[in-house]
Amino acid sequence: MQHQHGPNCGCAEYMFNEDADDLYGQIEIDKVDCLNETAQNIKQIIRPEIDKTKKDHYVQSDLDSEIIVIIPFNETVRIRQINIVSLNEGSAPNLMKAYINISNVDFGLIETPCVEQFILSPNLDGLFGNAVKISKFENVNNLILYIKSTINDPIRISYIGLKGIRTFQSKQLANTIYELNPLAKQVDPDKVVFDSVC
Amino acid sequence: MPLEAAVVVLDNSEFSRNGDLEPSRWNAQQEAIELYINVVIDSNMESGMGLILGGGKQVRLLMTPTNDRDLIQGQFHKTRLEGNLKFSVALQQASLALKHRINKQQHQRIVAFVASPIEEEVDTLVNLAKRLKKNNIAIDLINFGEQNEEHLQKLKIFFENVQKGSSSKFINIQPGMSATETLFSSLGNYSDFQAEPGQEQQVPQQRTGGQFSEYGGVDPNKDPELAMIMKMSLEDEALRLQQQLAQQQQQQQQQNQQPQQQTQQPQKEQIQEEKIENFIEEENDQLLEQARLLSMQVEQSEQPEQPEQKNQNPQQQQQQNQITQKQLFQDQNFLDELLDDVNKDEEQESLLKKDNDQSKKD
Repeated sequence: MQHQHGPNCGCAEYMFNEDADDLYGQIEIDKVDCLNETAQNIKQIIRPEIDKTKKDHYVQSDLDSEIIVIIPFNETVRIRQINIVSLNEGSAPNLMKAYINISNVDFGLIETPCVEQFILSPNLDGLFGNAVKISKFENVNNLILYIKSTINDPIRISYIGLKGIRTFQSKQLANTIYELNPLAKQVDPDKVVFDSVC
Repeated sequence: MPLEAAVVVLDNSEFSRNGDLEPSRWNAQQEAIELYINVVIDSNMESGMGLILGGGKQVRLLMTPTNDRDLIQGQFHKTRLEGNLKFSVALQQASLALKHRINKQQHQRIVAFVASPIEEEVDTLVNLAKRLKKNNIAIDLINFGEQNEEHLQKLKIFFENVQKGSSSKFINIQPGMSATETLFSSLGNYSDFQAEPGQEQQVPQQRTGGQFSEYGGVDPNKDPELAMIMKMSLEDEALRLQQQLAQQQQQQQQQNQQPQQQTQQPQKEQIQEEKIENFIEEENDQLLEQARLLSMQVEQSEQPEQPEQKNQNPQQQQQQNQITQKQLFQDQNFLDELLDDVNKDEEQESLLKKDNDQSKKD
């Protein structure tokens, strides 16, 4: 059986990454979506790392104890760590699958192979974050998390946090101007050397 | 112009023969399909529309989501009205059809036409609703004709549980209403709604329904000049209405003053009574007004002949001086006195006439 990384395996890959920063500022909060939640409060559980232990808001699963969270970013990022804090032990999830860069998500997605699978611990104080395989999460524009519990129903999550490294590059439509003859005067008047052709 | 795959669940049960929606519920559904074709297919070339028959012996998928309108309209010839509507089975089949759509970029929508009472219990409906919501499917629930309280309650609970955001709609078409008109106004929120294919956008006021009401329904980003003109004309209209209102109020006040002017008769001793008279006019009591007039006329004619009345009048005036105008009108004593005054005057007048007659005779 393939080795499944968990909280106590001690593998080097899962050592805490010191240079990873909180990616809260890079998340597009308005476009965050959650499937199968009872109330529309997914945006309230995406918070800065300082507030990770606050328990006043939570997301609860509706039918069957599983939810899908879709997190888009406003620039390309490299994810190092995913941190899930549950509300209490009786509603904690124990399984998570992560996918990257998929549009039009629905529950049919879980039948496809995931990028990485995690076993979750209740993590009520937010101290343990799940480190990811770095090479697989290199160019992430949106992250999809499938979170479920095989024993608890329903599940309640009070915080989702991501840590990683910014690339400061974003996927945008290129705005180009095509010129037949470059006109130096229009681009930068100071740099014109010859005013006219003699 | 959302890119959508919409599967329409038709109700071809026996209940659709009902004629409470002219000419029958089934025909109303057909007309509604026309509208939906325009909304879905004509707004975006890549959108698709499919058909499922919810009634009959079995729930049957007539058409997977396609953008060919003739194919969809042609399906109506194959259908027969029979059996009962199997609501949850039909919706589950619709969600399966959507799951296997070819273009995964299309948003999922189910349009459910309900023309018969729903057999399923509320629990089943709630479960079904949550499952549809979980798969991010928008639902348009259109009720044709059936107005049973329990039925409407079931539909309402189902709709509340399936609603996510504002993309789902619940429209109830009551008997006697025109289905197309109701749908036309309710679906006015769709951005490119057209009554007939290829026609220019009709009735912009209905469509936007408050989005750009300040600009009379015109999107200022799309047409800034027209938007400004609409805004100015709307403001002018509002001003004009206000002025009209003000004028009307003034007219009312003038009307109140006119009867006062008419009844003001130049009498030195009756200044007090005139004030009371004005007050009475404001209260619009015509009977009292007549009594007042009568008493004044009688007093006028009898003044030179009967100094006794003059004594009575100043007495009355003194009494009335003590009480305020409002109290006067509400004071029953005052009203009684007034009537007595009128009666006395009449009595004395008749007495006078008798005296005169007697004197003449003598």
